[in-house]
Amino acid sequence: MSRPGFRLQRRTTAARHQAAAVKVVGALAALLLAGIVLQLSGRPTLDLASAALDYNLGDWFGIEETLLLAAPIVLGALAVYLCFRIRLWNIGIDGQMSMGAVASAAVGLHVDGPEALMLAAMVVAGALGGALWALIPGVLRAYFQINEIITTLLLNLVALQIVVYLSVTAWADGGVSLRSTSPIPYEVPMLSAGLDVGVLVPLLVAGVLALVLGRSRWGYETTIIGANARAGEAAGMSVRRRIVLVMMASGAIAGLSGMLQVAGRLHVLSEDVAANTGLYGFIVAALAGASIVAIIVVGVLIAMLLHSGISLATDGVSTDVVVAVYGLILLLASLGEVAARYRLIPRRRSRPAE
Amino acid sequence: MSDAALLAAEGISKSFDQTLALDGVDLKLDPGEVHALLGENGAGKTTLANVLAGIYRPDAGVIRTPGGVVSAQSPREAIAAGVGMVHQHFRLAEALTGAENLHLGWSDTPRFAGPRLLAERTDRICEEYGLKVDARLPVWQMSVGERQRLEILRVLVRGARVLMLDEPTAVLTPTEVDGLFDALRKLAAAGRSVLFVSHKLNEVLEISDRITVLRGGRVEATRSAASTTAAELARLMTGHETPPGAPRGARPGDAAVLEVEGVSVRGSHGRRALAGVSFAVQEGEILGIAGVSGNGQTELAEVVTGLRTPEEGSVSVDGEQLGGASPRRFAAAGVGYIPADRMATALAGSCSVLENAIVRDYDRPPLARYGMIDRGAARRFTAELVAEAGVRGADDIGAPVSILSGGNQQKLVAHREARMARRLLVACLPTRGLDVAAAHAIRNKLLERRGAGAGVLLISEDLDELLELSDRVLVLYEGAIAGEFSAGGADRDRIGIAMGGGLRPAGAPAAA
Amino acid sequence: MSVFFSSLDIAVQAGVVIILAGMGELLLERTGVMNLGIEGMISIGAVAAVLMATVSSEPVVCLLVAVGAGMAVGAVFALFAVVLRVNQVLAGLAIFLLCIGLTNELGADYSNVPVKATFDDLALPGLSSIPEIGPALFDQPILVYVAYVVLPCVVWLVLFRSRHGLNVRAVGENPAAADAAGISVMRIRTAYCLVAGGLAAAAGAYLMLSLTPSFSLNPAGGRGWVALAAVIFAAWLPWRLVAAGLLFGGLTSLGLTAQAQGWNIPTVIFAVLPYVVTIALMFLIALRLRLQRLELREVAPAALATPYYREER
Repeated sequence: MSRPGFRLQRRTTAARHQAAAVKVVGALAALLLAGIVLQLSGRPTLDLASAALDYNLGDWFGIEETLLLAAPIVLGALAVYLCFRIRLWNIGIDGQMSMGAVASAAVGLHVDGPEALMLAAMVVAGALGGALWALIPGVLRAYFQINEIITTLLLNLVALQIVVYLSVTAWADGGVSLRSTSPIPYEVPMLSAGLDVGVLVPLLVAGVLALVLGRSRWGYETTIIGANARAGEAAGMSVRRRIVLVMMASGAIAGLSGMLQVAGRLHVLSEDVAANTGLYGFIVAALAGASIVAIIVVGVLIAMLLHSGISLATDGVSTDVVVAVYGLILLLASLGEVAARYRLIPRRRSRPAE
Repeated sequence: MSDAALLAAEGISKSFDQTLALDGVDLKLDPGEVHALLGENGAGKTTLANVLAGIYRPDAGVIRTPGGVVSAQSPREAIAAGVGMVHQHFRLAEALTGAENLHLGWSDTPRFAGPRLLAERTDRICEEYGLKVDARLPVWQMSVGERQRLEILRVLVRGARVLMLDEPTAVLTPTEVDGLFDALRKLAAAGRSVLFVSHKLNEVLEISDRITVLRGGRVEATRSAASTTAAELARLMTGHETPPGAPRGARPGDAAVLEVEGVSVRGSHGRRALAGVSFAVQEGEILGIAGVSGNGQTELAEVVTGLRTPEEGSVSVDGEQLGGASPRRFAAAGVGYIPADRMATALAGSCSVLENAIVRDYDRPPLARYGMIDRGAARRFTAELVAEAGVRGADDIGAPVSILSGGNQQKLVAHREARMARRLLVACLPTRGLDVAAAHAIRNKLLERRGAGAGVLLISEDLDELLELSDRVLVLYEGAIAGEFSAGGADRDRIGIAMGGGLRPAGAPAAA
Repeated sequence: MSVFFSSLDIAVQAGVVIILAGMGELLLERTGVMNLGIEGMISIGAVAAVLMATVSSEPVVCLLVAVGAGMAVGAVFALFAVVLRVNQVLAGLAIFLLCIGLTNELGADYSNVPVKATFDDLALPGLSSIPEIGPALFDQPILVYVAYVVLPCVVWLVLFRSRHGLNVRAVGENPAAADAAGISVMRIRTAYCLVAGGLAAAAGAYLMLSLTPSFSLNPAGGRGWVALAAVIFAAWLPWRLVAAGLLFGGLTSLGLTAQAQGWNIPTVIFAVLPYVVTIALMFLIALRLRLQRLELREVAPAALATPYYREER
């Protein structure tokens, strides 16, 4: 009665390697699809691709630019990843980053002191700014069950307006730039001509997260609560407080990232401080799954794509195209988690009825 | 096959993951018969019923009805072929009313109709079939018996000639069971065919005309009820004679481990779930709590484990007032908890066996050191726990706990909780859905705690289990204690009446 | 017109976007699907209307093309979120990124160019001649009447007075129950993905063809996220969503009035007001439920954002 061949069967556990493989295939398919569309719209895809590679890896300057873009994306992805561990969707990295930047800029612009001390103060202010901004959705989610996706997204819009107001009106430079504050007098030390110490921070944060989540009691509790909050509660963990704390820790990482922009790459507070890097970080975290190493690798790749979009602006490709490609990658790669739940098995032959 | 059969399944096979749940099963249902599908938990009864109802797609096999061969690919097709099913876990939308649940997905429902019209139609249908349901009440406010009647109505009005019921008596009071059996006999007498899925021998013998026994996914035998005995059926079900009852130890002590006084709480939707409940559990005593689900059992278990804060009243363990304290405080006082739904409350399914095994011990030495978890110690601890609990299939303790069978998951939970339950073990439906061997292991675990001088609060819907294990039985009805019985002289009928609300706490005569 | 009534006029018009897009989302969430792509679907509707307006001066044609584009996006979302059962949050955000990228790329050349095809105001005979109130409420583009009267009536009738609506609600409350009753969960969810896409795109088209008739980057401007929140504080009821839309419109209009009147309040206050109030209202709704001893999740469709597998065990 049954057809020969194979059929799909759903299984109770996810196969991680299968998920990773499907994601890679999905991302490549998305790039291929985007390439075909570009080709059809009269833009020579292969030429663009080789030019993009050249811009990214062709010289030290290109590599530096890519790493500068990658650092906040990876930090954002790590912050998102931390929330994933407890099943929270923090889509508010951009807002938390912005408020971290605002807090550290406030310190940097309005307080005088020795450079090292002031940088430390700005780090604290940045982390605190991000953490407090994340406290709002954290509390609303933990104690009132208000969907954190919507609140974090709305708070992004609020934070952006605050940054615009401060940089254009309240703390405006008045002379040199109409769109930013005057330069922050304190700067993160440089590693090379184009790179500051900030590019190392993601690695540091990644290391700390790996240790805390993988080895500590706090990380264990967070993992259990994320997998089954009720089981965590029954075992004596305080779930609501942990949701708020994780959200705040995630916001602190984002805020730190905002501080690194203000005291590093940008040197000022302007509306470019977040520039959707949190959203890109979200894509990275979603693609990388449960692996911190994968977050760093995927983060750099996503940054290369973004850098290509910026560099190729004169050749008819824009960051808007890159954003659309991001969407396509995320869409196709999201099949990974679904595919991991299936296996292909041979059909059974039917037994004859007795 | 006889032409008269309302449904005939031939060679049905179905597998999940790597396990073969059904292996070439044949089944024939004639008009006018109540046909029992008997088997232990895990024998494949529910899977077979789900295949016949179009919920699961069989890997192999044919299903014939008078209309011809159906390859029921969906419940819709099965319904069209006259096959309807009442699931053990009711398929009702809780937020919708009785009338709405009856009318959803039904082609006879008027295209445009307001709540009033649907309710009137429902009232008429209830009258026609003699099954009483409140059309205007949202389902979450209904008793289990009422929900079941609603499910049966829903299947009948769609013209089902074959009615399948999966473990329909599991959640009913004895009085409600009698009502259900009357209804089923009338349906059969009207020419329908009823498939009664159960693991309870006595009920099956009482209600059915023919009995098909499943074991390990295969049909063991089909017997007419008149020509078989409970002993024969038990042997067919299990493949061996029934094991003797568990041995009982000494009498309970005098000191109270758990004292609950005047406790009231609210459950979901702000409904009052417990109203002024008082009782005590002694050292070395198993106190059984009987009652139909939804009468406050879950809330009671949560109050005495710290998961729910009482609005009024006190809860104390060994004399220490703990009402409203955190689950951590209860755990520190030596209270363990085997919840009714292990995957919802006791285990984190996607986490590893190890992560689930250490959940009661991770926060103190030897597992915890300076805020970190010693992985070597955790691994040794887990290996030991798994071995002591007799959990099979956990050779890789890094694998997700969800790959273990239900019985092995429950053994892990029961052992983990019993280990830390120095003073009190709270167990909710601890053997539900388990095969005989696993259920036996869990019952022994409860008795072992009793023997060690701890108190055990056993909350169950299975009266046989309660009477076998408990020293005393309390009946919970609508959030209050509706009767207390000593297990020795317990009168099943009177407990049954109390479960249905027929006994007043004051001892007033039964109203039912 | 007095300041108050001209503000009301603007408030009514600005609310339309939230009501149109929110109503699609409300229906879709009633089937148990959460669509985070709504911001992108509004954008696609906007850019489709703008592009169509370069070849047609008929606003209705532009609107229909935009709705078609939105339904196409809804179909893609349905393919992934419903048929392939990808995580709804990921699928929604992916759709958002894809749409916003496409919109900005396709619309870049038309930035700040006035759109030629716009809807004329339709004065309701009689009502529009009432002094003050008439011009503010009853002399509006046709989509205003659709959003405030026709759509909520239809949605309410369908959801609460029809057989189909009963099935829709059942799918969102308990897909297994609906399935067991013979309702095709996948068909209903897919259909409403198209409806949600079409309505969101209609909201975007209305932006371009009526409210602010020239294209700008990110044309939805966060209104999609507000619409998502509006569905929550409307407690998934169509008439409350209308109120939510009008409130959002009022807040938007307040900022414009403040600017026009030269009130001495920092503009940032008005810029963040709609979002802050939206969050505050969600909080107040949750707080009110708490006082009634209810939780927000007990009001929401029980199966919201959960993919349905028949053979789950």
